[in-house]
Amino acid sequence: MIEAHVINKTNRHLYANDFWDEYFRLRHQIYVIEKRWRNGDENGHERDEFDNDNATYIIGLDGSRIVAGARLLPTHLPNLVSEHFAHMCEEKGVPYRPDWADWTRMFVVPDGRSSSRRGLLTQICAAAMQYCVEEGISYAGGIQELYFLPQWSLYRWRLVPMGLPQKVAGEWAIVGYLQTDSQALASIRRVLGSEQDLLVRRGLHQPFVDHRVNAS
Amino acid sequence: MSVEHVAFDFVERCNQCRKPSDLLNDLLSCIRLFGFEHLILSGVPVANQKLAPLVELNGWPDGWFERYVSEDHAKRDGVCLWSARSIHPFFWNDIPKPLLDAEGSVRVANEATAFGIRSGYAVPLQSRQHWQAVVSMASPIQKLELPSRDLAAITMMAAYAASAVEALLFPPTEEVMLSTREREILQWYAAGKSAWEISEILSISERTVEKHNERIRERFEVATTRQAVVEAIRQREIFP
Repeated sequence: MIEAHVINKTNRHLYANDFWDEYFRLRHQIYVIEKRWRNGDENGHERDEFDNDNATYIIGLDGSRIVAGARLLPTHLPNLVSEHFAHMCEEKGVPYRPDWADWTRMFVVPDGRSSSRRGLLTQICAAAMQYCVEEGISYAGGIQELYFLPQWSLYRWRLVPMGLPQKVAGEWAIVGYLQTDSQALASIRRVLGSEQDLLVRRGLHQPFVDHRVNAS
Repeated sequence: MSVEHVAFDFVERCNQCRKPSDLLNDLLSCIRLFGFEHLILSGVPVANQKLAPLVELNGWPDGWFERYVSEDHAKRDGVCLWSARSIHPFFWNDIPKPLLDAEGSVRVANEATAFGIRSGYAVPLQSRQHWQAVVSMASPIQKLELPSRDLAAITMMAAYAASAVEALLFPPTEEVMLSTREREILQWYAAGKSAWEISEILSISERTVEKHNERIRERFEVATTRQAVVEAIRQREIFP
């Protein structure tokens, strides 16, 4: 089982440069080379405008090796959906709430992928869900490929669509959010066959939900 | 009722649905608003798999499904063959020419017209049970043209229906996974190595390799190592 490290601006200095180099290189491998969604930078890294102080990373380690990752940002601050895919939220509107998270850059390293229900993908999803529940996040999601929708039903998670799907760079994609609550956590843990606490929190932690912001 | 209403209400009902047959009738009545008459939701057969055991929702016209299966049309039907290869939704008429115009494929298309099937739209989806799944919707209209919002609504309903059915039919069960060592050994078998060669590569005894191999075959419920390799690739346990 992975150890999923929760990292945001208050504790990221506890992780060495080598760690971040490996993390952004893996993202380059996946999002630039494999998926061709993005251009890399001169360091062989993939970063975007949301790799900023508002981001919380959940990074899955197998021993000392990074094998999976996910990134969360609150939706009342600029995020991938609000800045680039707002037009895909025609039906329900663009989320603007501190307790709704934009969930992006979820990956599993190529040699760690399997069709196993208990594989790394399920583990990183379980870690992200555990984080959402602990932090009081109500919904998490964002833009995603429609092709992979059945993945959520494996965990008995329900994706609430914000609008009709559209083609994005040749792929049908939809903006949707998953309810993040103890029931969703319990059901993915059933799939995983383990109640294990997957999160590792080092140092000080900034809470995800900023309660000073009024939800709208 | 607007296109959006039809689609979003359907998604809501998917969440409440307890029986695949209810979902089939619901989805059929929705897609009929857009010019489709029939649909099938199925795993896509690959590597000599038969279609019938993979079908999850069968809304084909009476007689057509039986005929399709008894004639083993899945082997020659271009739509079925392309469903195994494409991850993108497609109109049946838009499959690559060599598949569309192949003799067997033309024959299936001609036979289908007797059952009121002249065109269609297919939505392939990821599946944990099968190579992948496909929702294939059939229309009696030869040249079916859909506004982009209608197409988006149909694509979304198909994806939600397939997800809901998979959740209903396949509750989480105990699962046997390959160990890292077993995966490693199978990977070497896939590369054409013998048990003896693998034992040399991994510095373990040949007997141990054989033992692992036995368990691997049990895990996939197959008789030979070759079958185990095929199954492991299909289930994405190893990568060729």
